[in-house]
Amino acid sequence: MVTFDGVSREVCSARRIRTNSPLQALVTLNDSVYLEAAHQLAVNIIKQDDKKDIPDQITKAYKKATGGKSINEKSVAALNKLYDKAFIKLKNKTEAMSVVCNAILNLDEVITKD
Amino acid sequence: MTQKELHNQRLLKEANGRAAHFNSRRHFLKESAMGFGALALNYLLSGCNNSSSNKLLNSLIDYAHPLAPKIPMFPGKAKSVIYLHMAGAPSQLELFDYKPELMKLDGQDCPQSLLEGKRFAFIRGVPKMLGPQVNFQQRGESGLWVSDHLPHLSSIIDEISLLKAVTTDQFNHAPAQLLMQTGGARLGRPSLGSWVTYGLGSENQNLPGFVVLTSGGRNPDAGKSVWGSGFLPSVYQGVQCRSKGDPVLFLNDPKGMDRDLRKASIDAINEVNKQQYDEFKDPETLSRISQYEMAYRMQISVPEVMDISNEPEYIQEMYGTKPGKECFANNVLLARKLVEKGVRFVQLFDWGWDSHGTEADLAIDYGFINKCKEIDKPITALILDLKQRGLLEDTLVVWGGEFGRTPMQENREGKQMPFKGRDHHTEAFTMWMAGGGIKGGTSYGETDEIGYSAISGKTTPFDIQATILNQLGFDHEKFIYPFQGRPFRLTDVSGRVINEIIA
Repeated sequence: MVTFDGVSREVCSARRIRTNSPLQALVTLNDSVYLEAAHQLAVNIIKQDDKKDIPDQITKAYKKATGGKSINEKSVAALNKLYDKAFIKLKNKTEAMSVVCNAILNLDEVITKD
Repeated sequence: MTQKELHNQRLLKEANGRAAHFNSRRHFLKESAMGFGALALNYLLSGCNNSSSNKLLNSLIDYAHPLAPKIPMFPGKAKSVIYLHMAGAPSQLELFDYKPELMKLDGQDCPQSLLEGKRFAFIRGVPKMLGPQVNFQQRGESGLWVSDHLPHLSSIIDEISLLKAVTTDQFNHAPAQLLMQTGGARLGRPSLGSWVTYGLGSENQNLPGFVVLTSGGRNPDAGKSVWGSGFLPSVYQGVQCRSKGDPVLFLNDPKGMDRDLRKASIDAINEVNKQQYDEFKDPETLSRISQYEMAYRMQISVPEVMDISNEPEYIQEMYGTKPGKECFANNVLLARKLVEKGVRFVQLFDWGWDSHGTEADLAIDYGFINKCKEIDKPITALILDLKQRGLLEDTLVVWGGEFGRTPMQENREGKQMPFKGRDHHTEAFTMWMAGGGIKGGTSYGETDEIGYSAISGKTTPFDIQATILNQLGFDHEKFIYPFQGRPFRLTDVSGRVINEIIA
C-alpha cells in the first residue's frame, strides 16, 4: 500500500491524497499477485468459451474485470492486436490471453473507482 | 569569456536545443514511447476545453508530454533543486544562531515578558532558559558562526547563505510542514516540487521529474501530502522511492514477456485508456497514460541511475554512505545522481529532529548530536561534489526544518524533563540555501540577543518559496494555475523574493 500512497495508520488521516504514479503502474503490471489474477481470468474465460473467437473472449474478460461494462470496438481491436503478438511469441492460447488480461487489469477503467 | 557569458551561452544552447526538440518530427517520434498514438492524442485534445481559463491551462500542460522540458518566464539561474527537509525542526540555537547572551541566562526563569500572550506546544508555566549546548566558532572567510556539531559543513560555509530570521505561524509539525512545502497549512495544495515540475517539466523523460526520498525511520508528520500534487494533475506528484533495498519495486517483466511484448501491452493499455478519455474527458486518464509510458521507460533507466553502489569508493567515503541501509547519506548521494541525470526536483525528508528532551534520541544533548553527525558529512559532500561536477551553479540546495526551537528548556506538563530539550518555536529559526545563483558566505536576518524573535531581515515560508521559484525563472506572483474559478499561486497572496542572498 506504500506505493499507492496509503496511510500507515499511525495517525489519523483527514483525506487520502489523489495519487497516480509510475510506481503504481509497475506494481499492477509486474507484481506476481496481479499476474496470477490475470492468468486466472484468462483460464476462466477460455474454459467458459473456448469455441468463441478472441474478440468475444476479450469482451467477456473486460466485462468481468469492470463489473459489467461494455467495451468499444476500437478497444477490442487494440487488445486483439496484443493477443496476436503475444500468441506469435508464446505459442499458447492461455498464456497469450493472460498477457491480454494483464493489460485489462491495468486499464484506467478497472483501476479507478468512479 | 566571463562566467556570466558562459552561463548565457549555455542557456541559449539549451533554449535552442529545446526548440529543436519540439520542431523535429523525427526526434519527437523517436523519443515518444507512444509515437503516432501521442500525435493522435494531441489531435484529440485540441478539440476540447474551450473556456478561457482552460486555454491558459492547455498552453502550460502538454498532456501527451506533461514532463517535457519547458522554458521558464525568464532565464533562471537554477535548473534543478535539492531540498533537504529536516523533519521535526532542528534547533537553530545549537547550529547557526550563536547567542552568548543566552548562555549567561542559562538555568534562570524565563522572564514573563517572553511568555505573556504566547502559546507553546508543550511548555507550561514558567520554563528555565537554556543556553547553547555546544561551542561556536567563526568559520571560513565570511566568518559566519557555526557550531562544533557541523565540522564538515563549517569548511564550506563560504558556499552558503544563511537565513537566520525565518518565521512561521504554525507550531505543530504537520501544518508547519504543509505550509513550508505547499504554501498552505491545510491539506489540498500542490507541493513545491509539483509546482516546479508543472512549470518546468523535466530534463530526463526516462525518470520522474520529482523524486522523494525519506530517512530517519518515519515519513514526515504531514504524510504524503507534503509531496502531493494537490489540484495540479497527479502526474506532477512526487514519486517516493524506497530508501532501503530496491528503490523501485517490480521493475522486471514476468517470465516470457520480452521488451517487445511489454511495449505492445503498454500500447494496448494506453490505446484503450485513450478511448476512455475520448468518452469521459477526465484529464487524470491522460496522467495514467503518461505514467504507464514513464513506467516502461523506468524499467530500463532505474537500475542504472538509482543504484548508488556503482559509485566509486572515494565518493562513497566522501558521503559516508551505508550500502543497503536506510540512511540520509545514501539519499543525498542518490539525489546528486538524479540531478546529474536531469531530474528537476529532489526532495529529501529526514525525520528525528524533534528534540523535546522526552527521551535520549530526542534530546539536544544526545540524539540531536547524532542527527548532526548523520547529515554533516553527506551535505558537505553534496555541495563539494556538485561543485566539482560544475553542477552547483545551476542546482539550488535548500536546507531547513518546518520551524525552530525555543531558547527556553522544555518543561512538559510543568515538570523537569529527563533530558535537555527545546519546544517548538515559530518566531525565529535558521534555514540556508546554496548554489543555483545564491550568494556564498552570506547571512541575512538577525534575531534578538537570546534568539527569541526576529528583529531584522524577517522572512517567511512564502519568501523561501518565492525565492526558489525566482531562481528557477518564475515570478511567483504570475506563476498560477486556474482552479475552481480563480487563479492559484504557490505563495497565495504573500511572498517576497529574498534578493539579499541572490548573487
